Amino acid sequence: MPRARSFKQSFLAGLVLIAVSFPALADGLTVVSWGGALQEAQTKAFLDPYAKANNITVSQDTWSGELAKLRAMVDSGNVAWDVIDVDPQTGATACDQGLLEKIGADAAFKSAGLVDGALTDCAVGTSVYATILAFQKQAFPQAPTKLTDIFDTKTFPGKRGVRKSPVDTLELALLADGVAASDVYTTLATPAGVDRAFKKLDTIKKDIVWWEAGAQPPQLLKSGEVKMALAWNGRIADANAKENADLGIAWTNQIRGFDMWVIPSGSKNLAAAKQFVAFSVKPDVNATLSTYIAYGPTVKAASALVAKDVLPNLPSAPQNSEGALAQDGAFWAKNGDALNARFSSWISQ
Amino acid sequence: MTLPYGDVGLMMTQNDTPAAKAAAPSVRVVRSSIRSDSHRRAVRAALPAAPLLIFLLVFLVIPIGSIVHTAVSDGEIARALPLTTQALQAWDGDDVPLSAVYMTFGQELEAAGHAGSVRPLSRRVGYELSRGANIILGAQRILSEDFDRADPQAWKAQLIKADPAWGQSGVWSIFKHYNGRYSAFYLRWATGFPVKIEADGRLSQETSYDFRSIYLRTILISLVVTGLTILIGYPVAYVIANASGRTAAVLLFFILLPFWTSLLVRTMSWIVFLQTNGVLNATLAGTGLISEPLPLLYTRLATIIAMIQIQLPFTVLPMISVMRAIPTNQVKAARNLGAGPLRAHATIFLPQAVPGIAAGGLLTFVLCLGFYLTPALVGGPSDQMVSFFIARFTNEDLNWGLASALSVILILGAGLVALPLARHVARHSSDRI
Repeated sequence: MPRARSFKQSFLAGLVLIAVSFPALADGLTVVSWGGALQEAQTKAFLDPYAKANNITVSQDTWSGELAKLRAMVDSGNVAWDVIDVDPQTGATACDQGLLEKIGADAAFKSAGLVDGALTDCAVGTSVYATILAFQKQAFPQAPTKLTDIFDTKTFPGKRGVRKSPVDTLELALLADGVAASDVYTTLATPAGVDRAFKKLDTIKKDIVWWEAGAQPPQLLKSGEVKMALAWNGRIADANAKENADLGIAWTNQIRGFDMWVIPSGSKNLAAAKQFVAFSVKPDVNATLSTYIAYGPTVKAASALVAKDVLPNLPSAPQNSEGALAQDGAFWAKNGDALNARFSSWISQ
Repeated sequence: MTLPYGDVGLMMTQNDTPAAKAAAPSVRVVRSSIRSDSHRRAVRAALPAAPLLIFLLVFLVIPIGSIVHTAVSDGEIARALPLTTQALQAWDGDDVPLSAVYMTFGQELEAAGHAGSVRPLSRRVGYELSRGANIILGAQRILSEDFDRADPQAWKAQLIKADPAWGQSGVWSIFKHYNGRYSAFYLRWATGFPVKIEADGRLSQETSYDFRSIYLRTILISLVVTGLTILIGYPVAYVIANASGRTAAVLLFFILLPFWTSLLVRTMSWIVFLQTNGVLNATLAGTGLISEPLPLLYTRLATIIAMIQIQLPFTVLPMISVMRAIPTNQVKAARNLGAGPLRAHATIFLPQAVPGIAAGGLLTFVLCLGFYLTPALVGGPSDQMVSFFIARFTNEDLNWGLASALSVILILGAGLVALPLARHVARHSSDRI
């Protein structure tokens, strides 16, 4: 029965094809970031060039820093992600809980010439971003000048957008309440300091529209749902450049963070993941990200390679750096669980 | 003409034959055959309902059972530290346990580290002890250092060096208490009892979710929506029930239209309608009624309006079916006897429409209790109902014990409200439907 055999043969051939294509899927690299303008920029600057240079498939996923998801993956030994973008506090928390590979000790990253704070036990910083205050230019007779203006409902009435997270929000509440930038984290480490921050937040609670994904603040501002919003500076610059959003940025008291790559513990493609992270901190590669989004490089040697026209939009520009505060990842790793729980219950009341 | 007991009839005719008489069965055999026969009949009668029963079992009874099971399962501590929990049974709860217990615990923690069960343990302890996760993970870290492993005192010193909490009673009392596989911990948490303690064993002052007020909010929003849908739906149902064929059909079409539109689409339309630069604010500003746009979106008001629109068909349809069965002559007779239009309606029509109102209201109330999507999209953070938190603990915090406990209480609450009312409705409407 030649026909039957040919059917059987083709069927088996199909099975074999399916079988070999699965490892091919697993052979690629899965990179996870925060979506929107940031992930597009990272795709153009890091992912695509890396995939091309090494002839490897890079697939993508997005998240908003929900550690429980990562925890479930690591605990079940079923890790679908290889490289994840974190902010300093998410990175430090996950590192403390043993969810990440300790890549900070690798010689490749130690010798990469990163700026202070951009290399920690588990995380390698690739860009500098800032939380800033964005506003509709025509909303107020006088423009807001600093992030703490978000608490000034007298001069700047109306709804304001704030990220649904205690990170950055509590620091700003203390700054607005008169705590010096150098004392913010020591104050926030005390129960009285936490109470003080929440008390300050209470004063604007009814005026806040909460956002969760970085792409939301530009939308909320454009649709007129809020008049000002705390946002990540690159998203606002991107909305201004690509969608003529005409949004203003107040830089004073910016809270600076790093976008950092981490590798989840138990990644199935550890070697390729490390290779990709190392690729991201090559000076010429690292400098290209600033072309696609207004975030500065973390590699010292890359600073000179950044295109001149984007420099004024970067958090690190001298005229933007007044009263800048660096997000303290270690503080959040230690106190994040308790503060998150309190913040979630406070917001739901 | 069919016999009610076809099989029995058949058996009788068989037994009338001489052959059967010759081999007359004993009484007992006949009895048992009749009994097994009635069994068979009962089974056969139930057969048409079998798909439904199997469906209910697979998709209702078993899932709810497993949710209840998850809500009371609490074995992480005993699983990771069996010997420690056992050794602690002899401890009276004062001060701290003996050094030997420290050694047992330290060795078990190391073993748990190799088995990968430390993180479930640290997360579970973190639910009940302030900074609990850090205390456990810190202990695990310090045990990898060098110290005299034969000396219980050295284990104790090492742990207290990692965190002073190990020299206090709080963490040990938790280990002692959870030596089994089940506990009411999540149920206590979900019903708003304080569950968190400090390292010294006192109740923690950390604010946590106020679940009682969240339940209260859920019930309140559901009651308001139910009341308003009845108020709005009653006249609509009355008009449709008394309208002639074509008008009634057109009106019914409008009632059913939302039924054929996705819930998500309808909720998103409310966002477009209510937002600051949305349809409503633009219209109001255009007519000069307002100078500043009203803040409507992300409020309790928006939540209630959207929920009413979504629930209206559920309330109106049962009302229509009951109202259609009310004879119109009775109201006419009452008018003839001198009652005014209002009095005739209130004394003759309304009492007979009550089963419809109750059925529609009950349906709406129970459905409202479980609302999630609409409040999440058009409400603010303080307008979120229980379902929102169940989803949050399930998907984001991965705290399935608490999510299940919240669900169990929601199911119980809805059942307590629905069952008596449903029986009442069934009793009083059986002669109308």
